[in-house]
Amino acid sequence: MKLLIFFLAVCAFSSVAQETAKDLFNDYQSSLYQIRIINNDSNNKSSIGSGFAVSASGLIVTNYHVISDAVFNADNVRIEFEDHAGNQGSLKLRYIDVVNDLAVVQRLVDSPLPYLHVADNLPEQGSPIYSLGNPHDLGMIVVPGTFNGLSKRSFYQRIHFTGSINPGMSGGPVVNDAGLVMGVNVATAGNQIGFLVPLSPLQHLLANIPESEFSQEQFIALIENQLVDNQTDLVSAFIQQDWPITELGEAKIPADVVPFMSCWGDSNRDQENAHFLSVENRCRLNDNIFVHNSLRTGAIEMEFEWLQSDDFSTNRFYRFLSDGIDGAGAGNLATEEDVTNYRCNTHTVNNRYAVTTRSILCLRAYKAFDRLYDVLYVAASLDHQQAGLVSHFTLSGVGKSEAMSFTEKFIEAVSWQ
Amino acid sequence: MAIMVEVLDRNSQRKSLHRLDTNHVTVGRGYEADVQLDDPYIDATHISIDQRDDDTLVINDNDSLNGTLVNGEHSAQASVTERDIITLGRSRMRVFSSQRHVAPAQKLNPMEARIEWMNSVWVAALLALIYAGLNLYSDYLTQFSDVRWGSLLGQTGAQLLVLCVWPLFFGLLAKLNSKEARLTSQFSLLWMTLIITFAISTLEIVLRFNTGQQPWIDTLMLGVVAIICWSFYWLTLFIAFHQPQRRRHMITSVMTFLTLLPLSYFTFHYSDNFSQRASYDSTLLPPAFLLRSPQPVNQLMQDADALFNSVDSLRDAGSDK
Repeated sequence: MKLLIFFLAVCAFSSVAQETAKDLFNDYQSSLYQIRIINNDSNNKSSIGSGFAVSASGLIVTNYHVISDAVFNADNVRIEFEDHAGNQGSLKLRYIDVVNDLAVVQRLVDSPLPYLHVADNLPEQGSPIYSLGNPHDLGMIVVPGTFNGLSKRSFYQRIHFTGSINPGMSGGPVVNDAGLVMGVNVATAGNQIGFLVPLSPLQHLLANIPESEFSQEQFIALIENQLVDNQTDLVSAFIQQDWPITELGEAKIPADVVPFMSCWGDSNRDQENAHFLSVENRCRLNDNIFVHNSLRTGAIEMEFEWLQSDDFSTNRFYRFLSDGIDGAGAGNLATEEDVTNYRCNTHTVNNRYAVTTRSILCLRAYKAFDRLYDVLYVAASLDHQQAGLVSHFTLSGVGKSEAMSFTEKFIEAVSWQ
Repeated sequence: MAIMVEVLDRNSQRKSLHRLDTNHVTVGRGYEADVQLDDPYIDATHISIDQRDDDTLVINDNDSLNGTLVNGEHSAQASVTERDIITLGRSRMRVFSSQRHVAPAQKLNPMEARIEWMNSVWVAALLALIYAGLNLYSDYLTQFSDVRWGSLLGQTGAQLLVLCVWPLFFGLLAKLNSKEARLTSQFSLLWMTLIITFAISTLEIVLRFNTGQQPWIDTLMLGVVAIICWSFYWLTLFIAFHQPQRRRHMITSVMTFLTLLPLSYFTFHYSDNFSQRASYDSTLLPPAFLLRSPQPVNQLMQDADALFNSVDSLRDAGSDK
């Protein structure tokens, strides 16, 4: 009997959820838009996303990555919308938040428009929420899901969402039962899983819209400022704390230094025919910031590998170790348009624990942002005859002083057991 | 006074020289001729040569079937000197008086005595063995899976075979010039040069390992390569040919220049094409090769400051374009 009641309750709940989703779709689709970037030459759309009105005066929120071309390629593209009724028109870019992938565009209106209200607080954990959007250019759809709280393993505020978000739903709203906006969909090519930007960055964005329209230079300066502020905070989160130390081979290395880095360990001990032992510890900050199509930044990698071999003579082992530090590359995507080539310095250094390393430090500068650099460091220890530690990190989009502090802390963090 | 008849091959090199102490000489295929030539296109007494009182030489064609050519022109009678090439049938010769002055003797280059030791087969074999061993060892150092000695030996052998082209080529050139091929010396020279090159490139690695990526090392190495190339080419020519000093110097310099041209291009005009990877020298040597004491971390940080300036200027240079 109890089972039957439970079964009926589940059925009732799911039908209620379906009803609610349908209602939401009908109630709020008038506030939803498809945002299109139109190429001026071909007069055809080069990218699409979703957006939603947040004021009667025509302010529409979408994802920054949907409209990034309008900042970096302003002369060749324009932003247009299509509403639920099929009306089309052009949009003006008002403000952006590159770090949280948000943008506000303006529709010029004669009469007040329907819009969605932004919630004051996030819902309770476990409440149903609905992601609205326009995937694959097929029209508006609703994806029901559950609010599971904010992600604790991310430097940025992100909502755990159980539903699936497709690329075209980018910029669509996430609403609760009452139709209040809880967040914004984000699904970029760089991030395989969709995630949601929660309330507070959205509130912050809406509170900072400038009175006058920004020029292209002002937008690029704004992006640089936002990146510098964010990266300073991010790197400070690394520098300002003592790094937990773990053992790797005969070395002591920093590991899991911040909770929002994901780390993996691996070893080839189970390979019977290997002539060497390799033990790895790799950490990576996966939240790349989308700047434009060919430039991502914000990634941080920290990698250590202990290599040891009884089979190799010392000469042969050091050749082997040379291969271990060869060909290090960037941790973020960038092209010749965005960054300079790497320039490197090579030193043989002794750190405070008398660990001797051959250290190679490489930098490249961002062409559009004078204060930002990508840093690449790779080193091999020179203290053993048939064993050695390869240490490596990359920082992307960081300022000079953060780069210097991080580099020094990283080199000084390694010791022998 | 005597008549000299010098029989030549197709490259105008001497095949035989005949001295005849008389003022009338016949040349032909018959055994009664003073200079007998085994050439089916020549008559029994094809030509006769007369020496006049004023020491001039005149040749007369004795109504031969195929005639006589002086410097390529048919001629029944002609006055000839040592500069004229006379063709009978398929044979070529020069005719001149024994009074002719020869050029003064050339001074023997002291180098000849100094490289005498290279002419030993044992030396050549030992040097080849040393080079093969060095080659094999350096290949072995870069094998990080199971060492396949068979394939390593095969590679080394193949490399040695390819290198043999050089001494064989110059031996052949010498032979074509009717000189001694002196293959043993050429081989010794080749293996010795390669061993020296190997030693110098090892020194270069040690130098780079101890100094970091210094641009002056590139210049230094180019200079060293120039010296090695010049010496190698000079000795190769010295062994193969009997050339006047000036000419050998000139050919050697041209060859060295042609070798260094592409080399210096790749050294100094390295491509700065955009890459997601950093380009740096990753070569590591065992701690025993560390000749200087390591630097403190703050030295690296100080130099990092300059590195920031260098990428800044790279960015600014790019944005000016």
